[in-house]
Amino acid sequence: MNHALTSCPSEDELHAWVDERDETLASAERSAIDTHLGSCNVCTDQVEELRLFRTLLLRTRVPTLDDEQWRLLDQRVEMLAGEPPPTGGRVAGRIYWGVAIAAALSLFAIGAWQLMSDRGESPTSILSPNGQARVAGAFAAVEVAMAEGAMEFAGADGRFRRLAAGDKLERNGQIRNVGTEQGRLVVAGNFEMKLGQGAVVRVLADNEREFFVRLRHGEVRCQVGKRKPGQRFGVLAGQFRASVVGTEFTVRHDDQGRVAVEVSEGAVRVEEAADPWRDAGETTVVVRAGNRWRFTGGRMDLGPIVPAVAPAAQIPAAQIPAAQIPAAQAPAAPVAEAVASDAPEGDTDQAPAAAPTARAARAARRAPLKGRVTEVSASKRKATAPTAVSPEEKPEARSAPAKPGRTVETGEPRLPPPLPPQAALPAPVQHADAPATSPAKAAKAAKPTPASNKPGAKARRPGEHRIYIDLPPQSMTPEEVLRAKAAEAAKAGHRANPGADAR
Amino acid sequence: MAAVQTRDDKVREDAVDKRLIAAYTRGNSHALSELYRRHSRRVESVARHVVGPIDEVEDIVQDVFIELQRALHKFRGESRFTTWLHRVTVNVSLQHLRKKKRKGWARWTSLDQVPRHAPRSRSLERQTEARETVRVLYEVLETLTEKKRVVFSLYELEGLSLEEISQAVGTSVNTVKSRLFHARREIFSEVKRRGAMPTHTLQVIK
Repeated sequence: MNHALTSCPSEDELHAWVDERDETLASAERSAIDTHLGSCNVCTDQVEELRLFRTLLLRTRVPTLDDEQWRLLDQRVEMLAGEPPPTGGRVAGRIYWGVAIAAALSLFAIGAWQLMSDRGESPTSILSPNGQARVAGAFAAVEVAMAEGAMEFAGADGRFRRLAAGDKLERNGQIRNVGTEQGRLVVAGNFEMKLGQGAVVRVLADNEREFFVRLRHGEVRCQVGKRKPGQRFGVLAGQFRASVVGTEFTVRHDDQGRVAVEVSEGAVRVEEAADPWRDAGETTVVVRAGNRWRFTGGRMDLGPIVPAVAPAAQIPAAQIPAAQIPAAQAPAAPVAEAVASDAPEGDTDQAPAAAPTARAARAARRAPLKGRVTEVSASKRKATAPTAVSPEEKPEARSAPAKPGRTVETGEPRLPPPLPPQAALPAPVQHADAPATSPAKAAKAAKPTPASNKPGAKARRPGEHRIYIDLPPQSMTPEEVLRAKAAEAAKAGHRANPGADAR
Repeated sequence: MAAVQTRDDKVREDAVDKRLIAAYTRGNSHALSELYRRHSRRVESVARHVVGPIDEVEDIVQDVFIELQRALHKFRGESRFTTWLHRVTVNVSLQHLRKKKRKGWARWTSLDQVPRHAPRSRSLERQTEARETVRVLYEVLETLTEKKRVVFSLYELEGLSLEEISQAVGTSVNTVKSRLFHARREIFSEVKRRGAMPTHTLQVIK
């Protein structure tokens, strides 16, 4: 039975009538509109317009992905499907403010707990030297200013997603380069990281004042623009922390635990530290432009960056015995901080790890013979550069006779096979005019020395000490270097190790 | 054109989905891959009709499957898996838009940027006209509120039913119907006002 319409149908009803998939009009209503349209020209014209409108809708399908986009997407999801399900939950859909606030408070508490757990120290250690809470700024995520290449980021939910400009990097999130080319990332305004293929880093400190990442494996090349006062950037790899003093450097870390830092511009401070906030371990090395530092086979060495095809005579490098490096997880050893006396002008890095902390100074006073701080600038070192001995020599170093000329090695390919620890142990470094090899002399040498020990050096800060590692003159041939090294080993009473010397 | 699924087909497919979910929750990671293969096109289609023609649709699809990976064990199996999947997809897509603080429809500022596959007419004049109407419609969609736009695009462009949309957006069918009518009215009047109505009808475009 058809219902006769007493007036024209509404626009909504006509829309529904035109729509082939309509589920809103009953069949009786549809029949009534059919009847009405046969006698109403106005409605008939309107229906014609609505049909055109539906044509428009039929045309307006959003283009789908092309085959290449599908192929890449399939790969990404397949890779994810192989990973274990991430832990932690996320509220899908609407998040009410109350829930959000509760979550924020929980996150704050968890973050503070994690921060303390990471440090393994008392709650007071999360305070900055001037007593201000460091935690407060640690939860402001750093914004990615630019991202190039196939880089992905996984936050607290563990889900990797493509990293793009404007994204926020959360603390403990991971960045990985899944592309075949180098991925480029600019964060905190002026810190640029280039991740090599397959490189994975974890964000440790996530505010623009302190941005640190841990290189899990792979290679990351960093470049830093002009820093704001107090700004800190750095990369942790293995048990070491490479903090930015200057501008451009590369950190490598492989699965064998080998770490290498190459500095192209400016300077980088390499310290033994397991996290961004920990005081540095016994050894601190400032690596200047054109040099590389590396830790391989249980020992460290420093030297010029060796080009792919090494020249006949390289600038020799210095070695620092790993035997004198405590394990990263060992109880905090007394530390004397590096003296960046010839740091670039304008270097305002006042980070706790770099600045002489009261704790470090107290530790130095308590145990003045344990600290070892090394500042090396191999490229700047002259043939006649003096050799200095720290007044804070290690006990085992004090027992060894003074030897001029620290362990040296010729320029060699990167990451050589390791020496046996004992064979690699060099004699303590001596300074020509301060041969402090006994406790008495060490105590004497512990008195403040004039800054003129090193030409152009700034005044030394209290509690800071330096060791200059003397290197053979650059004019020495590799054979002369080996001879000097063998003579040094013989004097030190070590059994000769031809294999090691031949290196 | 894809074959229309009957009710029996849907029931059969849903049973397969649920077996895969059970396998995944028992630790078989291949089940998630299989779910992706079965539903990735559907997810992509819903996502691009929620967010519009933006470049990040792949990311949204990936996020949807990450969300599935995280939450599949919460799926109780009371509704069809695809219903739940639509809801997850809509939520992830809207979250993506909110995060980016922009809509995705007003992308093409000139006619040349409108995809060439949009019009299917052989006449150059009609092609131009069709592309212009597409551009205008996208601009109008951009001006709609999020709720109306989602309902309109899922119904008119993606082809979901009112019931499917109501489950996907988490509201009643009547609310969906109301939003759809309002959206239609607004879009229709705006397209007419801009003089972008097509001059001829197309019967089948797929």
